[in-house]
Amino acid sequence: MLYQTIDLCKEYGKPPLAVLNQVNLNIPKGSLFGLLGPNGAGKTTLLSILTGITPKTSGQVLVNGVELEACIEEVRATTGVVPQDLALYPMLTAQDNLNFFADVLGLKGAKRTQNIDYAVTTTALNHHLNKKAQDFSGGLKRRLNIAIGLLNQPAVLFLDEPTVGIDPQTRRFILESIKSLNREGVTIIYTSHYMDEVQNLCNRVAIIDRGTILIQDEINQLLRHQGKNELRIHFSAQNAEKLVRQLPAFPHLTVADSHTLTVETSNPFTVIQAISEKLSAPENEVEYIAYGQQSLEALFLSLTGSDTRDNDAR
Amino acid sequence: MPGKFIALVKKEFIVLAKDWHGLMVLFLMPAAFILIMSMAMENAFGEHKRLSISYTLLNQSNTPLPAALLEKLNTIPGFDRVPLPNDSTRERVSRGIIEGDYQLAIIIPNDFRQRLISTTQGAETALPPAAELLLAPTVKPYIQQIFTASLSAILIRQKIDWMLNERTAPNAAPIVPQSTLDQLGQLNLGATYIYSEADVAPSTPNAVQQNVPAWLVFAMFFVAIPLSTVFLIEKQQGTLLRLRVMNIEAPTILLGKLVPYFCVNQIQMVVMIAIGILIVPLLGGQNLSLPHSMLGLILISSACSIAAIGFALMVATMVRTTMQATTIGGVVNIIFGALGGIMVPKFIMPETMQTLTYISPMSWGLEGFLDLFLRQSGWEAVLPEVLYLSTFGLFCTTIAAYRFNKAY
Repeated sequence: MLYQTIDLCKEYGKPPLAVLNQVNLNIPKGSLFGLLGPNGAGKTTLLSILTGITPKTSGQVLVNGVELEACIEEVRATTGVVPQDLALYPMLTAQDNLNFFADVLGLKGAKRTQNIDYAVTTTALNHHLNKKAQDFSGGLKRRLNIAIGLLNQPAVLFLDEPTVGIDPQTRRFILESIKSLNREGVTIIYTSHYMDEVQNLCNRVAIIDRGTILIQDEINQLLRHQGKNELRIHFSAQNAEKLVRQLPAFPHLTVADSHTLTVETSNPFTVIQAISEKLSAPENEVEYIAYGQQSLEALFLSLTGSDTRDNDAR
Repeated sequence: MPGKFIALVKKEFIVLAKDWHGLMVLFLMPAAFILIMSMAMENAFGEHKRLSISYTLLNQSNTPLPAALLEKLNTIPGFDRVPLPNDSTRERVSRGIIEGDYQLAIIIPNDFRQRLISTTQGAETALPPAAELLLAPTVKPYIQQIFTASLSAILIRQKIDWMLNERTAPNAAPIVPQSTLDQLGQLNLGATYIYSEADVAPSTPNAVQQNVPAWLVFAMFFVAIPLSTVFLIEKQQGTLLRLRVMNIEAPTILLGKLVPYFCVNQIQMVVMIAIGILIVPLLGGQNLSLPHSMLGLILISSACSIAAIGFALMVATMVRTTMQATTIGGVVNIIFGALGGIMVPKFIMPETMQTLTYISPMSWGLEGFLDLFLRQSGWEAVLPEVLYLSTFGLFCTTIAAYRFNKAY
């Protein structure tokens, strides 16, 4: 196991407020690990502890079986961190940013050139190096943010919501790059609020809420064992809310989004039969009906509840 | 670690250079203040050395005034006579004073000669006034006294001439020769300014010598705003966090900020002094005398910079938003400036306020620069100010380091 936490606790303030409570997490080497949780669940605190930024209150953090505190310098040297914020200098060009962080990392000579090339190539920034970061689009800024995290050719890469606020093309490019890095052997620890993204990208996932790990496993295993079968009805118009008020009361009927209704059921034909009259109304144009294993998002909501979280207990 | 430190310093220089608008403000603001204030305060500072007061003379007597008297009146040092039209009256002269055409007026009465030579057996005050003086309310008492003294001397000369010489026979030699009369009222008194260093050539204070150091000190402390703002932006953007993950220690980051802004402060000093020497005289002001001690200048400038940057770092680590940094940095600087004798020169403040100036670090910096620029003191004279400023700077930096380390 690359990263392992044992009964990890973190408390802030006086009186102490527990942000992480008996967290036991296992991140295997070479995995593409998704860390999910609602706002204030403790994700950022957990990442901060794993990267050695924040000290823990109690418990253990082991890296390759060694206490993190004992090998923090080595861990930092082989770890890349891509924070959610765009941690770069907008006034500087992309090249100046990369040069500066390479210098800070102590890279010199051929190694420096090689690592900068690697970061630039991986994020396809070749044609944008001489532009100031402040003149970049949101997507380019994200790519530069990732490039800086890759400068030390890390064995472990922490990515904190790296696809926030970008267009689908850039998002797709970034996700492909992450997959490619993982294929090269880089262990990725990834947080995101985009469940479909995590479901498609990660091979292992942990869901954290209120400072506690609710579940962790390989994603396929999780969905197979924890996920239930559901019927998804997708409308071309935003009719889901309106229609649900007209339908007979079904258990586990939920509005997934304004276009989509989901019904947790093991017998989809009965459900379709019961609502077919309403569905055939001309204003309810059905785009598709699907049946199968519950999505990661549904599993996430079923574990963490659907209430909004206002407190971000970083 | 030196490599990482050099990288931080280099980056800061690049960021400063790219933000040349912000950088220019650090130079243009004090330069503008130096030029404006040096011009505006030229008279206030130069008053004791170059008096220039205008006056006029209204002769209401029925006989022309003697040429010698007029000549003497025309040469009262520091007072310039404004001629009057022939049909002038006392009322018109009064209006001229109100309208600012001149500040003083001598009214010679129609029986001037009788009044001047008249004598009484009684008290001196019983003598009729030989002439009347009209004054604008803005004329300071000491100006009036200087003018009255000069006028009295001239009138006494005329009085003696009329009383003694005109009683002699027409072709007889005068009792008091003309050359003796001309010397009446002329009494030379030597005047020397005393400076702390006897071997230094005297140099009298002027507006530029007050304003260059004053606005230089203000500008040095003004870096608190850009420095603390940049620091907070980096904190909010997560770049400081990223640096930490890359094994950069908090003191290295603070030092990486201190060095480039220290250089900015030193360039400010060179530019502001150059403005005082080269630009202000071109605009009609007096030029700046370079200090006798360059070592003293380097010491006080460095100490001032350490104090200013330490203060800026402390502000940066105590506030939460860039808005707070700008507001608090700006307001505290203005208070420091007002208290420290930057905006209002310390020597014209009441005694209590002069004592209060000592709570402002800008006052310590200004005093140090004034020791060098005005009093032409040696480097030893600035050591107390260097000590105060350095202590203040290190104190602020320590607080900044403690807070930053805690939050970093």
